[in-house]
Amino acid sequence: VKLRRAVLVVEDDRPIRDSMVQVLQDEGYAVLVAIDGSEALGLLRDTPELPGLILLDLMMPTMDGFQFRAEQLADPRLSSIPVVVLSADVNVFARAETLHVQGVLKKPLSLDALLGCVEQHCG
Amino acid sequence: MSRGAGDRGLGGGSSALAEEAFRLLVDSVEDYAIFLLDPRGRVASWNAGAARIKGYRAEEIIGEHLSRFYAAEDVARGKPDIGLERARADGRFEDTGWRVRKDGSLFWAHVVLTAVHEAGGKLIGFAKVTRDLTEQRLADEALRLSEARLAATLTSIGDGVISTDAEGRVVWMNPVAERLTGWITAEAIGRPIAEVFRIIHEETRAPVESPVSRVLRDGVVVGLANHTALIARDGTERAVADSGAPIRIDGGPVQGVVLVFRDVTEERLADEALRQSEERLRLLIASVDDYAIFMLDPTGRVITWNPGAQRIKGYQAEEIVGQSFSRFYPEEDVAVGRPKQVLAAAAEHGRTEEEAWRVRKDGTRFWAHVVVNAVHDARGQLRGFAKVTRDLTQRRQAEENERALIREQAARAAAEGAERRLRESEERYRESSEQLSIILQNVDEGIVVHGKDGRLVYANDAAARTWGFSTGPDLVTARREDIRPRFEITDEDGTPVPPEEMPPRAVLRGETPGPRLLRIRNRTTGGQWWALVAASGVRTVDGEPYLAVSIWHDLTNQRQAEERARYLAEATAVVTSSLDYETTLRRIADLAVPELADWCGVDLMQPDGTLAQLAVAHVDPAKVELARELNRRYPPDPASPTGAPNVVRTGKPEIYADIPEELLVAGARDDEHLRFIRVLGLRSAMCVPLVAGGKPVGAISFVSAESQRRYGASDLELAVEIGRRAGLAIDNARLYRDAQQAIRARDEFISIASHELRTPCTTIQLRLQSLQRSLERQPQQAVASGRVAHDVKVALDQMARFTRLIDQLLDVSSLAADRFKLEPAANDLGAIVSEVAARYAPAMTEAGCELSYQAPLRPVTGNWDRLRLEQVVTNLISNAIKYGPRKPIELRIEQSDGTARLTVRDQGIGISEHDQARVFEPFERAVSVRHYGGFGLGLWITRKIVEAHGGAIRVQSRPGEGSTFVVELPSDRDEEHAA
Repeated sequence: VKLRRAVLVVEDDRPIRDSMVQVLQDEGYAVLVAIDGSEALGLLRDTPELPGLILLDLMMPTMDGFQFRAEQLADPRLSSIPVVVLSADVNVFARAETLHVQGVLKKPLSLDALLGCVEQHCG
Repeated sequence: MSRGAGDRGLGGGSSALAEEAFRLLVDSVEDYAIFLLDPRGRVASWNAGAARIKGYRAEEIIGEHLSRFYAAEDVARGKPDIGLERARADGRFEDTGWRVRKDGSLFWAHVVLTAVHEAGGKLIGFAKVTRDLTEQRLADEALRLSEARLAATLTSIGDGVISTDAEGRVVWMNPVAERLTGWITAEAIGRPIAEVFRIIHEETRAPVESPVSRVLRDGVVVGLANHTALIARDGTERAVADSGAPIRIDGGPVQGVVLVFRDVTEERLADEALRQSEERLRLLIASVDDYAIFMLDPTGRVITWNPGAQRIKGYQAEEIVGQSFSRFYPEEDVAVGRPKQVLAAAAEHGRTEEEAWRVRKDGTRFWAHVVVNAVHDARGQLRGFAKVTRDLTQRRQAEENERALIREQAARAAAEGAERRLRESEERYRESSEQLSIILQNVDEGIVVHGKDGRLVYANDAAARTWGFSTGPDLVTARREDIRPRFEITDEDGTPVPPEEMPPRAVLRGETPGPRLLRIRNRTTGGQWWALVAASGVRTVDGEPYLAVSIWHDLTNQRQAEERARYLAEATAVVTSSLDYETTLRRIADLAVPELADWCGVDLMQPDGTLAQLAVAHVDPAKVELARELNRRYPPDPASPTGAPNVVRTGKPEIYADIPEELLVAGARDDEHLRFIRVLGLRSAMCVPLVAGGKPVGAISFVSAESQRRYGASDLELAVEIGRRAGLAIDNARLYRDAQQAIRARDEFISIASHELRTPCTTIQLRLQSLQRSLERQPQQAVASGRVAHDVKVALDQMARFTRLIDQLLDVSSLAADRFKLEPAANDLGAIVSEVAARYAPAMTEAGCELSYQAPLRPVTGNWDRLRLEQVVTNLISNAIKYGPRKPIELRIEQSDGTARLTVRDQGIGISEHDQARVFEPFERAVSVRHYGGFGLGLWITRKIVEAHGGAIRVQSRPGEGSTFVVELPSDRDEEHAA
């Protein structure tokens, strides 16, 4: 198994989060998790080795995806980490455009699309 | 038939039998359309009369709206609904106007609309009674016109006219008849004709049967009788010629007789004188030889000849008598028909005179002065021409001047004679008009008569009143220059109508103008009225108009009603044209100017209780600026006892028919303010409330200045109605805003719902696709059963979550449609709470929430729906976890006085006071919806369930300090339980 870069999953819904962790680990990725934006920021700032991709849910309590993305871009160390947004919102494509992210995955997630996307950034 | 109408006809508490009788009665009426409308104006019943008048069968029209019976333009003006509204408000509405039959034809209808109420006072519809007055209207108009013409004609003709009834008694006589009989109408009326019209045979002196009795007996026209003498009341005897004719209506029995007669005394004397003088004249003429004097018959043949004729023309009598006089003319004159022209001119004018060349028997020409006189007998029949010819060949020049002089004098004499005759005729008219005026005084229409020179010779009181005089004679004797400048007379479209275009002037010029609609405005009072003016002429025998009779039919009420209806219809259209009520109110102000006001202002109440001027309209933009400036510098005092602030405060309209100086002074804040107000030149004003949502929210002010218009009760009524309708604009705008908010809430909810439903789907899909991938990768090997079991369990959990969401959606739909049913049974609240809490124990552990639980030892029981109460507890506990993770949660159950109380307390984010009112409403959530899962319906559903049990739910909370939800439910009593 070749060494792959870690993926950070930021998702408040536990069943989804667990499922994503499992399918990504099945593919050999190292997976970091955070239940909201502030936890994700804390985790990134404490980690010496940055993940190759952030899978970011938008609707979360405490700090949502939008706030997280703004903080990330403002932090020179973190700003270059690619971000792919996950959302069940029908208008997410329009809203994600303002976030300048690298991709959008629509919920319910297709496993192929998810893995393809992660492969592209961390494979 | 409705019970309401039946009660009215047959007495309260009428039996079904009476009701049936009433229904049969109505059904059989054919002259009146009698039918019922439901409260919204749709036809609910139909009778034979309705079918006959309107042309619809019952099955075609029942259920249709009454606007079917109105012309399209009336419907556009809202007339059908105005009628219903008036009937609803006043109980009854009466109207006369054009209506439409099924075939599209119009008929003139009299309509009475009566509101029908149940015993309880609730409106159940309208009874409508319609009568077709078309024929009556046309007949009335024709009759009025012909009566006026007839009266004018009969009073001005030279014959005596007496009319009698079927018994031969006098009912009417004209002034000539009064003069000839010596009776005045007032005394003669009702007397037998033989007493008033006494006639005898001139020679036998025996009484002669009156033509009247012969007409009554034989029913035919009775012609002239000869040798009849009329004995006047004073004994004077006159030779008369008379005739009588029966009065019948449509060939029916004789209703009376018209007797026409005239004085022939002078004709007789003239005949006699003629006979006597003829002989003398013949002898005289026979002796004249300087002049050719001879007679021609009406065709121009020579009948007599005298020596002068013989000498001048050269013919012997026997040569020329019986020959045409054209042989005296030169050939070229005969060729152009000159002889005939001369006779025609003499016949027409009575006389011709010329100097021209004539031809003698020997063919030589001579310069002749010729006078031809038409000769008529006593009856006016043309008998021939008298021709006098003089040979002027030598004295031609000498006589030229003299003749010119004579001609001039003759013309002057003729003109003077004509004028005198006209004056006499007018004089006679004035006398006779006194009789007529008695009749005309009782006519509603204004009737005026102008003489040939345009002067007013007669006016009835109705006419005088409209011009500000109390009686007709006052108006007749007033100086025209005192009247005319006080009034502005215009066409329907406002174009001024100059005096020479007025119908009587046109009639006097010999034209036949049609009726003309005029608007007359009193420049002083500002009052205006409308009249339809029809003028016709009374003519002399030669067709020259010498009197103009004008009838002024007052249409003011109709016009004002039409104008109001039009204005209201426009205002209504404006109200419904925009959902931006500020725009609408501005347009309503614009619309009021200048038709209803010189100024119109709209003030709206602001949240702080002050009034803000939203719109002000005036025809002159400079004045608009002035009004704005005034409002800026002197904003209305909210405590003012009058004007817009008071109208808004009390909801009652104000009207100032006049604005006296004292009022201006009292209303002014200081001298500057007073100067400002004076510049505006206020004359009369109204201020009406703008009512929205049942409360006054502003005021509309209508002010008259330049136009001098003075407001009255009907203006105020209209203004109030405008205020009411303008309020609708505000209501509409609010409803629209609320609807928009509801739509936004719904869209938001749909967005949330789809988000929520996709969340469990994401997990299910990832789990299943992951399993599928494993199977595809290693088709030959079994996938680890532990892994399969785990994935299936996770997927099934999410399916359950999905199902719960669907159930919640279904709850929403049944709650919204009030299809929410409880299945109550005896239940223990403690048992329900414990069970739900146990189910949530893992979630609480995971969220780091510590649970404390307090409950009485005794069960707390009540008659409740167990599943629904589980839902209540579930919602409250899951909310406590969701909004208060890592914080303790308290559950407490209590019971007192038949009330069970459940308290759920968390220490989470809390709810602000403002949001506490909203959290129990659908689609409301105190925090941003998207950051917490769920539909945001939980507390609403919870409240609905609690309320359906007869209980209540409330919340106490402060932001950052957590929330306490308290549910109270009716329960069994402690002692009952103990017992």
